[in-house]
Amino acid sequence: MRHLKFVAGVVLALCFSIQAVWGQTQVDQDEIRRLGNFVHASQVGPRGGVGDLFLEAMGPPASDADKWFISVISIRNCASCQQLKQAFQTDPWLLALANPKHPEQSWSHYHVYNGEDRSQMWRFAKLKITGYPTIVVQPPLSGKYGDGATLVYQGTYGGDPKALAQEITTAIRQYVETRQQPGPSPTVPPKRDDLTPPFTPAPQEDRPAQPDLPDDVPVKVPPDLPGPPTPDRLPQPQTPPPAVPSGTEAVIVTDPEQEPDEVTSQQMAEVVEGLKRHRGRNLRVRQLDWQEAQHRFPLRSEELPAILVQCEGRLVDKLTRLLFPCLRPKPPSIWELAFGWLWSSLSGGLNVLLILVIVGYIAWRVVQRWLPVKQPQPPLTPATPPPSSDVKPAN
Amino acid sequence: MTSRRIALVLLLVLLRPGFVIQAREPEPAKLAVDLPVEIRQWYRNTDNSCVQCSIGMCGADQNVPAAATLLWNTEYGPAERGGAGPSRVAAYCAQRGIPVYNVVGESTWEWMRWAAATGRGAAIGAGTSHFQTLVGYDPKTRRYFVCNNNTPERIDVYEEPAFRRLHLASGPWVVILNAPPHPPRPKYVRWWK
Repeated sequence: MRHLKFVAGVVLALCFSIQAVWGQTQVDQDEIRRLGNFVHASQVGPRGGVGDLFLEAMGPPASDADKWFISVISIRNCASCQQLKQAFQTDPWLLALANPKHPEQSWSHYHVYNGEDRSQMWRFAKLKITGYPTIVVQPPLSGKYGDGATLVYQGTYGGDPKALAQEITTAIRQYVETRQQPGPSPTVPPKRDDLTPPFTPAPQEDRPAQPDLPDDVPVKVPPDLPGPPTPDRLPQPQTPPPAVPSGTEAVIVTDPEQEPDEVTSQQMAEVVEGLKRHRGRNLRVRQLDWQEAQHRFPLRSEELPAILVQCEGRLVDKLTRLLFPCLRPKPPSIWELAFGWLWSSLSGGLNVLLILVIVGYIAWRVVQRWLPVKQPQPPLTPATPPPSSDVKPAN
Repeated sequence: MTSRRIALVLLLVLLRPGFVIQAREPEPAKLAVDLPVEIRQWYRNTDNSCVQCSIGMCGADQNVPAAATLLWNTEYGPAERGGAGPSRVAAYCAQRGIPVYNVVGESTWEWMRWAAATGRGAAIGAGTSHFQTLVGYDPKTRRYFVCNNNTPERIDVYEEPAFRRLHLASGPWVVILNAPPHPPRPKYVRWWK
């Protein structure tokens, strides 16, 4: 009997330990990692304090629209980029922020963008990218933490996943805390510097020629601050920016050994003309050989000829020969503007039939109305004989 | 009397199912699918491949290359051209590793509104035997914004009743990429001041 009790006890202990290992996760360790070093003093009453917002931000998102955005901009043949992508797949600190394999379970919307992919990089035209990989963090689409376009964090990867994760969560914490701080006292007039934009506003048109990028924005967002940030303590870039030409220019890159044919040349001329219309007639155009361009721009020989658009020394657009046939800007003609709606209505087969019926009916009515109608002939009647001339009048 | 009949016929033409109101086109950045015109034009329908054009447009928007390259021969797979149904879509999505919600039936309305609300596009049945891309939905005005791959340079705007007729004309079927939506176009803001 004692043996039986002993065996039963061992079996029960085993069952409990198995359940502890294989049972449901009872502690959200990812949230613990996201919070980092954080002390929250809960209190009775409505929530909404600074700590409450950060705590809520680091918790599981309430819906898909409440997920933050973490975007990694990488390029090919970049060892650091590969390391970072691998770290996001395996490192627990980064997995707490983004789960690439299981997007539904991920705390954030995680994207990896190829810095040479023209179909995507137009989204980041306003970013100042100085190295790869570049990590960018933005608030959720829900608007709960402000405008989703706001750049909360921008940085590069130093090889330490934990350090990167802590930088990201620290930036989010600073951002959330800043949003909660009261605004300036209305009795204190704002400084003149705050009213004068640090850039030349673009003219009112659909797409500004230059991005509205302040000149002194540090590459790392937010800057490393031991205390409350002040304008005087904003760190300056470590290396002075290289001397680059100002303004916008189009650089035509060709290979002298493979001159473009007549069709391609014509297409390039049309593209340049379109760029001038789009970005201003003052667009500078210059030629560059492939031998020199391959060391300065992310370009491959099979993409030549190519047109690179630079703004303030920053590459903002890359048009390769494969895209030239698609980029033939043609303003809409009067015909298209006036009858575009009619053409769209004719796009369906059933509509064509209906239109034909209507046109036929109208034509029939018009013909009925305007063609001369034959008057009906009166019925024939026997002619009245003329009075006879043999009848003499009576005297 | 003739002029009244002509006016009545023209009115019926204007109110036919799927009539498009050319309201002021919303800013592209505010739509769930905010692709520029140049990229939307890559997905112009030239050979009855409207389903792949619509899914491809969503793929370009959500940075899913396997979906964005459906129309062309790439490392992600051969070009998928011509008409398609839910089974064909499921087959090539499985082959190319494209995560999708392939939705048929009464719930397509909720799925479409969910997609737009969460910043995603949706390839939707719209028009007679045709597929288009739902690029946005405004819950305040209850207007739907649709990009027709026959005219990709334009965004069509539909009121709710017209959109319902448009969707039912093709059949209740939508395809939504099960991938994160694109982030808004980032900009620098001095939030730390």
